[in-house]
Amino acid sequence: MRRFVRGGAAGLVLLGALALRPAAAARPDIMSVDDVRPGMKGHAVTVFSGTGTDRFEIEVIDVIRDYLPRQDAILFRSSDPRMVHSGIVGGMSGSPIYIDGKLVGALAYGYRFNKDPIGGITPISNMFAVGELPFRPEVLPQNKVRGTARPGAAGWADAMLGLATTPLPQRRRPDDLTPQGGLAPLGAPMSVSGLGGEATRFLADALGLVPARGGSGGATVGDAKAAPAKTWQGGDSVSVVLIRGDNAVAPNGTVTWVGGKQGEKLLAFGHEMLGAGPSNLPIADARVHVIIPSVERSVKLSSALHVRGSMVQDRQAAISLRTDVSAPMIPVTTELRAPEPDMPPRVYHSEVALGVDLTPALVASLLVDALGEGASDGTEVVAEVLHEIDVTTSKGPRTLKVRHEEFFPAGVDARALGRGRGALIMAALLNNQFEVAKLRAVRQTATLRYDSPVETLESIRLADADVHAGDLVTLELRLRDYRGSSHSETLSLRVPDDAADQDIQIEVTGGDSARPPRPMPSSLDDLIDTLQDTYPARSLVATIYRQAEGLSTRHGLLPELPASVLESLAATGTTTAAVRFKQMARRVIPRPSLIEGEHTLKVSVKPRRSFASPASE
Amino acid sequence: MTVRSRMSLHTYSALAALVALAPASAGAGGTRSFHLGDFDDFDAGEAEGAAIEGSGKVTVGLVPARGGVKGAASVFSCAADPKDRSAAWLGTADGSGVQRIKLVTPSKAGAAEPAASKLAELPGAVVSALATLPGGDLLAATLPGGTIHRIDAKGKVSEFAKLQVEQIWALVPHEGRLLVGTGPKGELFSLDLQGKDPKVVLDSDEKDILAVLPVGKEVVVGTSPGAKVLQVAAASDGILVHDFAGDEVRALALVDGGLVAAVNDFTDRGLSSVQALTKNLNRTSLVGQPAEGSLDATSGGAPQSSADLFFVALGPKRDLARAAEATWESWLHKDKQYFTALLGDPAAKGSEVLVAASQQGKVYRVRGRRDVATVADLDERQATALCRLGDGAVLATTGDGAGAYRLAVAPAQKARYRTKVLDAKQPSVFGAVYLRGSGLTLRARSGPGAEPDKRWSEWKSVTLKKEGDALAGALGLPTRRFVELEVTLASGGELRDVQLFYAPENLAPLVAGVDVARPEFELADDDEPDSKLTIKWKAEARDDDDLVYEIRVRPEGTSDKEWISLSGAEPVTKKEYKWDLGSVPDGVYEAQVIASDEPSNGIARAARDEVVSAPFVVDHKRPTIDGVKVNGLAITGTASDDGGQIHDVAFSVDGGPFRAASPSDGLFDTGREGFQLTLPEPLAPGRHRVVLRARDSFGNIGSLAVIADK
Repeated sequence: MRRFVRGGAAGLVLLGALALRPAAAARPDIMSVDDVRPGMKGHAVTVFSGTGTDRFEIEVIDVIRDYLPRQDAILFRSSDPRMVHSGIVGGMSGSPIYIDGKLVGALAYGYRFNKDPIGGITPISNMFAVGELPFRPEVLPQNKVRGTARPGAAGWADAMLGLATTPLPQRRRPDDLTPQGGLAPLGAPMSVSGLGGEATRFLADALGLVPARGGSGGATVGDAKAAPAKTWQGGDSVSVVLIRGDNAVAPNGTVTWVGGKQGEKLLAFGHEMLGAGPSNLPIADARVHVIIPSVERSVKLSSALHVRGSMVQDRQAAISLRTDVSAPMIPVTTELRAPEPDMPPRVYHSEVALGVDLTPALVASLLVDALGEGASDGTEVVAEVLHEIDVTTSKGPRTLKVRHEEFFPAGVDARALGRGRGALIMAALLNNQFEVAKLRAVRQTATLRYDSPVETLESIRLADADVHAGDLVTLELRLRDYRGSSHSETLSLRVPDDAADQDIQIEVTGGDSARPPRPMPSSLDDLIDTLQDTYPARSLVATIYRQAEGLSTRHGLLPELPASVLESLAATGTTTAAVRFKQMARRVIPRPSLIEGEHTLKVSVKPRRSFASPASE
Repeated sequence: MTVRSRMSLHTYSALAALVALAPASAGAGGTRSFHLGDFDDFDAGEAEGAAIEGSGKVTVGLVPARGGVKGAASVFSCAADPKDRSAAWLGTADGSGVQRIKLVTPSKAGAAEPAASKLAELPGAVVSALATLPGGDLLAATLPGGTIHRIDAKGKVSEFAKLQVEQIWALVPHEGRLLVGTGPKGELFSLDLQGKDPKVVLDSDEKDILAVLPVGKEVVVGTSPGAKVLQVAAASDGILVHDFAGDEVRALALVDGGLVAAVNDFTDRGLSSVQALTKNLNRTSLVGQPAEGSLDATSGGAPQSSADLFFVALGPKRDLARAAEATWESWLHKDKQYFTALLGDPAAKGSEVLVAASQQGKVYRVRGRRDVATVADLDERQATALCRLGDGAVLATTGDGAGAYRLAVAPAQKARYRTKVLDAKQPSVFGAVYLRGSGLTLRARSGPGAEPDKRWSEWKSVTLKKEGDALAGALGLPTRRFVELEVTLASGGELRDVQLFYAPENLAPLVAGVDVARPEFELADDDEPDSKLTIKWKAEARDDDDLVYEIRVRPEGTSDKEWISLSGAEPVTKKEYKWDLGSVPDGVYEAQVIASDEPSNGIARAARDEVVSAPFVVDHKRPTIDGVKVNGLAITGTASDDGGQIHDVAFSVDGGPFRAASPSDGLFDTGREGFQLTLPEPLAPGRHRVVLRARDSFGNIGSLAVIADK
């Protein structure tokens, strides 16, 4: 049985494996990069088709020192006619390369638009250093999903409050793509099945992986228990299962090395997948349907077969896999009720992998897919989405329900809905300052209707000439139907008694644009309560803000505080112990339509009337 | 504290004797002085073991005993422990709970100070009020909500009562029942001592009942936001005792002679921050942190407030009716702070009350309108509550740093008083210092920033010598803008007056520009204007020095030797000079203004600035009119001027008023202008005398008479 190279590895582990130059291999079956010379000939092992491995010849061109921090690369060329035709193939990442019968490393790099099959090898010693790292089940992987969000827990909150950031990535335009002229990781072609083009693009944007649509449906990705035992060997095709069920998403590559007493330790890819470091994502053996030759980059078209373990480390030089560890998956049910009455409801059952940033993106992609498949109608559509998320917090299990409704004038923007409230709430549950919620299941139901129930708030006007404290004032709202006429409505608001001789600010907006005032959370359950507490989308929220201020604390909201108490409690020396807010009086009025627009009025309030006005009686 | 220029010292006759002490060398220009002489001056500084008395002196005071409070940001309320004469309960904020502290003597230097022990943790953000029941159990009200908790000696918490209110501000046992001041409906509840039978005994129009004070069998309350004192009466809304100008009556106290109210007035907060604050509220409700960078916009800095202490005499029978009629006199006024608590002692002779303030952790002792002393200057930022222990001592609690102090425990062996950082506005040489008092030693330091830091000089001892009735010393500090003095008082010592002389670095004055205005005239003027030219300039001293000016002129393009002083030996103090051109030959001139700060700095140290004006014309020559042709009623001609442009041409028929002629080319813009006019109809047939008048831009007038026939 082969063993990991131990020389100096313990110290290196402490440093983190991203920038390691391991000690030269001193084993008979391993060739150190120092011993590799230009002109040496060898072979690579990979799957060209099916599940059986095959080999192709290579010749060393040269050794590039420090291609990556503390990691060399070996340049090679292949004269195999298949490789001459296809070039270096995405999915061959990890294919072991032998010279003189000794393992040199893994095929891992190539050139885009290459004319000759020239590739790069990650030295096996760098991969061994990754293999030395332990499985960390306590770490919930923070897969580096690409995005524009701020790091940490703030991103989803900012997105939820419309502060111009999103934890899910914006679609990138071709101009934004980083040109890669040199040697670059082949990447793991993300085999996608059961997902439409829009959802595939959404996911590819989120994960930064090249999609390869055409694998078999995810329902066929079974559990290892139901399959014959598998003895892994270098060159086998391996997939990381992100989604399975009615849909399947599984980045694919090749096993470089198999070790451990029971052959339970695997190294693969020769480069990172998402670069998450400690991970726990399901892996499966895979079958290669065919290699799709491409001028830019050929890829293996593959299907995952059976889940057989977990990817436990995801780092620069390799991914480290274990077949004796299983990774959790969360059941997700996505239901679409299409606007076309004759279309029966569609229900999709899937399972997704668990990761702080990964899971919201995966769940969102399933919603995007359902919407893309069943609601591509390019007309006025209103979409109502209900998210039900089963979670377990330290206080026990609970189900979080969030409903939101949006209007689309020219067909549903599935990606916008996908990155909507459901994804944000999942991000909040997995990435908050209190504890990691255990996600148990997600159900998302999108109901679409051909309709345009939208009113735009055009103006607000105070009907009363004088406003006195304690008055019931009448606010005249001018609303315009979508593509329709304007009409006026009135709204009564009580001016607070203590607003005499002050200015007040009256704000009218739609239910989606305002949030109920809530205190600082002191636990995840508080946070969940806050996340669930919203105004109906079909409502008008009218607020009177006064000059007086209250305090938001971790122990609750302290509204209506006398000024000296407010100042005493809002200690000037601290920033977060207590946060001030303006005193508000609110009315929420249900409306038949969604409300767009926001208007504010500032009004000077006169003292209370000596004689009651007719309006206030 | 006053800062005054040496030049104006004579106006302060009260200081004449002191000024006479100043050495002659300090009499050179630019010398100023800091003066600390009254209570407010001294109160702006910091004291340790020193008492700042209302008569305007610092004496050796009493040292408090401090106890630490852990696990909370502030102490908000306190109550004496009836079972231990030197112990008290403390109600805390941000970490709501009750702690017990026992304080007897000050800790020795270096020794660990006594710490409060936790009795009970309570839900909510703050323990807003505490009271003890006759059996010794403690009652604690918490915010938010209307729950009163009962806590026994072992810390066991049970619900005493739950009122349908959002805030409870005061718990006061009275006549076998418990009075509870609440918000936001401004109700005063009365409960039995088992927490049952709640009755609203006062339902005011106000929002909060912040203070509740029994006066004999009667009860008065202080309210917010109307700052009213109301008396509980049969009528549900009570009787108005007094309505103060301000926002709240935060505390009430009974003293021997009458009733004292602490009234706070806050500046309106405005609405400009609504959006930022609402955004902050929403964000903190999700992640507990305000949006980055938004803190400055929302925290608002120091409160814009002022605080007043009012007293009304109630007479020997403590007749509350008098409080409604008599004048409430102001005993103490403080800006940029508010009062948080009052403690009176009705049993003691004399009207003495202690006031806790929000600034610098100060506690004032007030005995009357002119008798104010600072009795405690606590380390924390604000004093939050006062209570009297069983043994008669006073306990003060602090916020923004939780702590508790037993005041006036032991006479200080020595006291230290440090002035506030004094700002000389410019880097200055600090000279003589004069202290009046006894038992004093002095040290001083100077620095470049308003907050002492590493850049400041080390403390330097100042040797004091008796000079007249003062102790004089010389500072000899590095030349810096800021200075701080620390006076140590030996036992029995006192400090009555401080004067420090300094000379700021002289900044040169700045003359911003010189304008020269020609003589002014109107188109309708028939006479030539006064032949005076106005020279005006803008000048700034930059360091408050007095400035004088010299005005000089010369023909343009000549050398510096040609400057002729217009102002002569008498310096000009206004920023304007009128130059009489009567004897000035025509030509192009320049004016120079020289500003000097000699009056403030003396001739040797005076700094100057000078600016030369743009060239300007002096023109006495009158324009001429020639080439006049009379053709019936039409007259043409040419007006010429050597010194400048023709301004206008006018004509008068037979001695009538002048009327304007027209320029031939449409505008008067050169020194030679053709003009034309037609004599206006109706005009009697016959011969008419027409006077033509040309005026140049300086106002000089030339004329010519012609005859026209009709």
